Amino acid sequence: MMRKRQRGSSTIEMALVGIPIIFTLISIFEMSRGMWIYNTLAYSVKVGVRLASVHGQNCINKPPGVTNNCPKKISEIATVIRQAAVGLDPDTTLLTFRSATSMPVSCYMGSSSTTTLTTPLGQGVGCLSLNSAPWPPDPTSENQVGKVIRIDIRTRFRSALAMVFPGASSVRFAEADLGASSQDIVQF
Amino acid sequence: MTSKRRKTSGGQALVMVTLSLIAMAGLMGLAVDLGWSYFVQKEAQAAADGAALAAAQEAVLSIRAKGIAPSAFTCGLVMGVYCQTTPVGCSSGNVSNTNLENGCLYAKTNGFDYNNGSSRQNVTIQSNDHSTLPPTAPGINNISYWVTVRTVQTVPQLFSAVLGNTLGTVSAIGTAGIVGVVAPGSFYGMNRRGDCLYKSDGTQYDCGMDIDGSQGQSQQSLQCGTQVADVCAPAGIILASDCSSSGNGCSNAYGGDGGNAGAWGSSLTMMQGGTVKANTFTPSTPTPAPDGPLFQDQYANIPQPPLQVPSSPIGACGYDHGNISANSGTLTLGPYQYYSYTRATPTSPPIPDGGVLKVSGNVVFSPTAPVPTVPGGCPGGGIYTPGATSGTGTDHSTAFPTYIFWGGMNANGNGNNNSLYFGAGQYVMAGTNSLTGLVFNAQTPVSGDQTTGTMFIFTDGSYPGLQPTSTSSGQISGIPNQSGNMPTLLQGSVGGPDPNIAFKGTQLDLYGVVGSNNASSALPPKLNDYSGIVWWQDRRNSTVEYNEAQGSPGCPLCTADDGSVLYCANGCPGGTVPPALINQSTPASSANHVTYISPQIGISPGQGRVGLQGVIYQPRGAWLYVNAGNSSFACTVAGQTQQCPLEVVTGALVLDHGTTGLLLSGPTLPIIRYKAALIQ
Repeated sequence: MMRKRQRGSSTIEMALVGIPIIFTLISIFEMSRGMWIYNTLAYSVKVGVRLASVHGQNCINKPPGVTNNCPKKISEIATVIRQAAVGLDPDTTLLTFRSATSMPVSCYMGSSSTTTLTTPLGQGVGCLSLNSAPWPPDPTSENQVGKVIRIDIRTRFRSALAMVFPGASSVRFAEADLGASSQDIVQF
Repeated sequence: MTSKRRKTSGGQALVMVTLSLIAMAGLMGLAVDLGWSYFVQKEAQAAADGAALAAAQEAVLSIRAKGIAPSAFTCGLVMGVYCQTTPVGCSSGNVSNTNLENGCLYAKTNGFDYNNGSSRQNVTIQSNDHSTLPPTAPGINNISYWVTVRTVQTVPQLFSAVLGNTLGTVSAIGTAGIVGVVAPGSFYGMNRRGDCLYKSDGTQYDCGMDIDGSQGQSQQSLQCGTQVADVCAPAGIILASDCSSSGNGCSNAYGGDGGNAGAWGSSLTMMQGGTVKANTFTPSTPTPAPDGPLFQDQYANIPQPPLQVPSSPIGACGYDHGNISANSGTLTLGPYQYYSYTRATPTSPPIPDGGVLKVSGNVVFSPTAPVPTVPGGCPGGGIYTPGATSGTGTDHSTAFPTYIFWGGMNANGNGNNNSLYFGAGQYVMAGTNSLTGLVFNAQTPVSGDQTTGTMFIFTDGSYPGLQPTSTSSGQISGIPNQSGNMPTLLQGSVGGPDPNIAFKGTQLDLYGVVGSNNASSALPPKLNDYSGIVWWQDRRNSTVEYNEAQGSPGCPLCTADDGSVLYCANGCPGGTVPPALINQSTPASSANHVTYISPQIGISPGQGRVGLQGVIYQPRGAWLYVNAGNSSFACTVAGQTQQCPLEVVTGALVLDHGTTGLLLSGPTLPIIRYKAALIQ
């Protein structure tokens, strides 16, 4: 009798305790995965900003007689970011390029679409289609050595965390945005 | 039964946990080992960048120490700057005692110890001149030397080792080079708190001011794109004044006053704390920046432009009372020394008097001018004295020669149909014999070469190379009877103090020198550091004391001609010079022949259009003065006043009454400095 009772209670206990345990386990995994993705995002934009910061005015505004051909376009920067961002879905990752004075430019990292796409992340064309003009766009002022450039990155993080997060009713199931940004000054 | 089942399920858990441990170790490896690798990679990148930059920086210093322009560097030219075309380890003997060793040591400081035999780290280094471009930084061509450093480290794996990866490798590449860097901005005002301007009676004004447009009138003719402004600076204004209240070395409560029509720049950068007068500047609030190279002399670390003359004197042409007149024809004059002479009696020998050379008629300066024959004279009646031969031509005839004008030049155009054409070359306006004299002025249309360009140097009679020193004979020794007869030639202003003549009615159209990396330019590579310069004012002609070459007269503390300021009224390393005492008192100012008005480049009324394309350089403590009557620094296109692609480096700018201004457009021949920079 006692045994039976204990056995029954352990099932119930398991059911009772299991919910928070499983929640905790999933949380640990998902938080870790989120941190992992955040670090990947941060690292990838850092690589992208570095590329842009050493291809500034002194590449674009070449001195007379010099045949530099190294200004970087958004498509090239996005490709470098994509190569550094292992494991991200390139089609649901939005890059925002901010230079000193121009309007920020947003685009989807892996897309070559020329039409504006709209997702919960925001609006933007495909980065690979922005392959005609160097970035930052104004070669006389924004590309000067010492000017600040910045790239933001945001991606959809599909997670099981929100599903069981207490009070999560207003959060869309299993989706959240993760973002990172990197800022530097033009070096060369 | 019960106990049996329990046992079984217990065993299952053990197996499951054991199996899942392998997968979990892999996941943990992903987190821990890869995370650690990312961290090590960051360190490797920092070490590689630092090492490459250090090696390139050391190369710049070594090359400059040899008196060579970094842009002209080739392998083998400078001992200690090494070209290692294939990557070698830092412990290789090739590296020792070269600039590459500096890089390696920097990598070591940053945690990459290449000497440790058991180390899991390795650093390789590679370098070359422009004959091969760095494979890691495609597209960058304006480079004379580069260094690539690769850092590698093997990382032992902790959890990933379970899945068979016992070692991981991380690496980083950094590339730095000696590159031509474009200095930003249209207008640099370098005067600081305590740096004053002087009137001809010695009174100070505008201390600490960088732009004073307070006398200018607003008018519609000075269009600056869509703006109306007296100072038009589309590539930005950079001011060094930190004045924000009057007193304490500041004449006014601000460092910039745009005046009635205002100053407009695409950006306005000012040394920390400096302010501008309300509503006279656009943008109205300066962007503050900490003191640093941006506000120092833009040509810091390099000496003044060297003269392109042989070590022995070049030929000389003397003119009676300094009159060089083409009469009704055209005079073509070669690259010689020009001087004014007088005779005591009609038959006595010509004595050089240091007077200004008065040029009139149609005059062309060109190395293709026929070499005068002795005893025949120079064109226009000058007395010819032969000098050295150099290069392929006769008597200093190269593609970029130097013309020296003792006593300065005043193209006053005494008559009709006057014009002046300056062929490619260096024009040295070597002083004036008057305390209020000028070294250059033009009242006639002036044009010049634009393929290579022209470089004017405004100085006194003792610019390096002109006077005999312990190591050279000096150009002046080629002038007959100069010994003991030629007066001491002082620094003189450009334009002169007389408002009735300074560039009155002229239309100047001159181009700065184009770097030798442009195939059509004949500029000697060692002048590439000065590419863009169209007017260069002697650094010694300033109310502050620049450092000069060791042993310079009047400056026992001088160490090198490096563009740093030794003495000034406020905050200089050497201390304070009493500001009222320039001209006679302070030994260096006296030795440099500075007078109250000599640091000024001025244009004054009467429709003068000084159209310069390139860079005007004036030192800190000198100033541009634009006075009255429709005069401006602007280009003339089809009779219309237009913005001119000029970059101005000066101490301060004053716009006096009238429709005056400085109309700049984005520079097409900007300041280019060769320095070490990270390029990948």
